[in-house]
Amino acid sequence: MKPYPPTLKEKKRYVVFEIESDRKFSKEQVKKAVLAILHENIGNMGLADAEFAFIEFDEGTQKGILRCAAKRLELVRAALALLSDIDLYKAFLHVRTVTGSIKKSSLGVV
Amino acid sequence: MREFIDSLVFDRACVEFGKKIGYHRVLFDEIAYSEPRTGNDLKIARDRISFVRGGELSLNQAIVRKKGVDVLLDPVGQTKEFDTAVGQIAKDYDIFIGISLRNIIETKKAMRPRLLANIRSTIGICRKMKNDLVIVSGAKSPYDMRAPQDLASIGSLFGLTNAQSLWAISENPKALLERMK
Repeated sequence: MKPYPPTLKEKKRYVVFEIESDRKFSKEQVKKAVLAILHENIGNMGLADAEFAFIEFDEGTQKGILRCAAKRLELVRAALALLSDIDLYKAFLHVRTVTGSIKKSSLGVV
Repeated sequence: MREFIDSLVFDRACVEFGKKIGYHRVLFDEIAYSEPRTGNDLKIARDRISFVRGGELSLNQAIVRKKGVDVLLDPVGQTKEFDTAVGQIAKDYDIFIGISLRNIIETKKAMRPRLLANIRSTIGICRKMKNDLVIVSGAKSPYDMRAPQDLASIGSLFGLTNAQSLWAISENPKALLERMK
């Protein structure tokens, strides 16, 4: 099959975020909390539509990267803003930047 | 460049923290918040920006008719208590309609869909009646705050465009502050 030309491919956005809390969380804890809040607010169909993926999380800096479709960025951001705790500890997800390429987003994490 | 203002927080620690996460200004000393149960309990502080939390339809009507009220906060909950009549009176008396993020976060998960639907309908009426909107965090601790762009994205859930949401956390709070002078 002939692949889609780049102009027809769905645009992606890479969301660089930081967890703001008085304690540090592991990658698994953050991934679980993020997926739970997204499932709760936009559901499985919404997540599929948003082409969501948890790319990475640095436990030292508490920064990470998520990927979603450009068209659904606002929806994903709104759902992430409703995150109020991780494993019953008060925390919130602060979106630092949104980039169009993973290379640029990696610069924000490291 | 836009100057983002969080118009309602309940903890002084939020003022400094707000500046760290991107707000130009966080209002704490400038506000007077009240949560009346009936229209007779309404007390307004004239020298500060008065936020009055709404509730039932009769209470919302009493609030928007009261002189000195600046913002009718969270006029809807689990029931739809905001109609075009309230919207029109609020417009006539130059009262802003406020939506707080804390109200959404504190609502139990099972109840949240109905609350979001009611807020969406309220914002639809506000757009029709051309009411001014403010989106606030209503934070009781720094961890209840959200960055300006994240708060604006909440507006997009309710049918506002990104520009309208940003306006509700920058220009409209500025207009409230100018009213206080």
